[in-house]
Amino acid sequence: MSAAPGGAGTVGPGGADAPRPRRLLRLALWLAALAALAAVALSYLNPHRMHDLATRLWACF
Amino acid sequence: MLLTGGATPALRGATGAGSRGILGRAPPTTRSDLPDNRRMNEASRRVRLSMTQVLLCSAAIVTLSMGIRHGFGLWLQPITMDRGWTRESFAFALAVQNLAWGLAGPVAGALADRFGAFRVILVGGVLYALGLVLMALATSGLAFTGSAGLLIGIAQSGTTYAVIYGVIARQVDPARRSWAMGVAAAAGSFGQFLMVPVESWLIGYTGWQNALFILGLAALAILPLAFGLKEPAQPVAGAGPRQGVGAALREAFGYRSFQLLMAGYFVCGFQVVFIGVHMPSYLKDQGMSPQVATIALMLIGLFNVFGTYAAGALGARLAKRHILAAIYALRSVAIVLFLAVPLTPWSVYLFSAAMGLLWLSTVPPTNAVVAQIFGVQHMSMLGGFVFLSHQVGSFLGVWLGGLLHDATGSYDVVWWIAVALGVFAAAVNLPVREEPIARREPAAAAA
Repeated sequence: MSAAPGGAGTVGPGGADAPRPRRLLRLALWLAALAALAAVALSYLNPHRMHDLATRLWACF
Repeated sequence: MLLTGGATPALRGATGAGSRGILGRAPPTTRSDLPDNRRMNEASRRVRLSMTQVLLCSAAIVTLSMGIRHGFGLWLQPITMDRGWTRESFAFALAVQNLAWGLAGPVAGALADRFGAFRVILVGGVLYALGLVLMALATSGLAFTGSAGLLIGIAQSGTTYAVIYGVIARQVDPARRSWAMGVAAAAGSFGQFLMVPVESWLIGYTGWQNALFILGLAALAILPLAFGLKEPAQPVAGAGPRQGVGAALREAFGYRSFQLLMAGYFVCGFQVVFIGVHMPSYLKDQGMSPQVATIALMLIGLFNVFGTYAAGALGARLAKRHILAAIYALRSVAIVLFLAVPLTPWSVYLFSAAMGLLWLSTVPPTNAVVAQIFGVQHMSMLGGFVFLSHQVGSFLGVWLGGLLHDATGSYDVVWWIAVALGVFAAAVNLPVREEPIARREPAAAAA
């Protein structure tokens, strides 16, 4: 989520070694975001949840 | 003389003072990049919130505000059964909610531009919580329409994109604005994706009424987050001539590119809400199982997160009118292919993933163009008007979908209307001029 345009790999006031921890943090943020998305997607696929959602969805029509 | 409202590419990278934090470090800039314009230089030195703070608070608020209302359909069965109401009573309240959201948008936006977004978000958060509690307690159709419809609709206008994007437009430097809007929109998409299973779980384990009370408490979390978007007072010097609300509206509605953006956003509302509301019914008509519809819902939600983020990020690199034209054109292509191939669960899944990518991806580039053309002073109000156009399209998408289905016995006509509208929207976005509008000093200072 933090791959801001123009921001990658720039050396800010933090010094020449600043980009490395920032890259790691960026990677960690992306991994956390993907893990959250995967967890939510799996919750849809849980059989009990799927049945519950499907029933509620079909009840609308 | 050109007044750019601070939305010129010439300011790219010139606002590093406000771009602190791990998410917000601005790229280094040489002085030669700065425009030879004192007002712009002063504007570039404005004290700004850190971009990390703006993004985190915006994302959290939009996750809550977009997410909570997204699963309201799950309450249809328990509420109508418990209260003995018809589906129409429930559907009418949600239709009112969508209209109230659209109609209150420009007002909430104007108030945010005038008095500060954080105050509007605070009021919106309180109304949201109140609406959810009263929705749980309503024992008549009128009370339900007032709470679930009117109150929550107004609350959404104060806690969603138009108001939040005003803060982002003012606090994030123009080079990163589209990307930042993409992050906020992706958060809203994530909220929608997340809250459907959460709300299903809450209803199942706590009962529909307690689920609404719990969501009311969750909506109150918007209040502390709003303080993270409390903008520092702008210095008079450097703000440039102020433009009145009337002048801003006359300028925007008389400007062809604004009209074209509104026309495109109308189509967005029509397509998204038609598909969102009527696709399960279409799948049911075609003999698909409810599990297929549920997976389709999940795929739209999942790919919507990627699509909105990607559209925002691309907006920092490509012309936004081209991104918008491509999104609308691709929607038409996706619908045509969906109708052309035999309907199977996999064709539904592929279509859902494709539409998910294109779902709310119009939001960041559309709003970023508005900021780019008109500047940030009336960003929330103008964003509110563009969104009103979206909501009118949404209303017609739902209504015409049902009307034409009943009249013809199928959704075919509406699908093809959606295809034609997609082509139309692609065509009208291409001539949009993204450059800051040319203003004469006296006109801008008037009113």
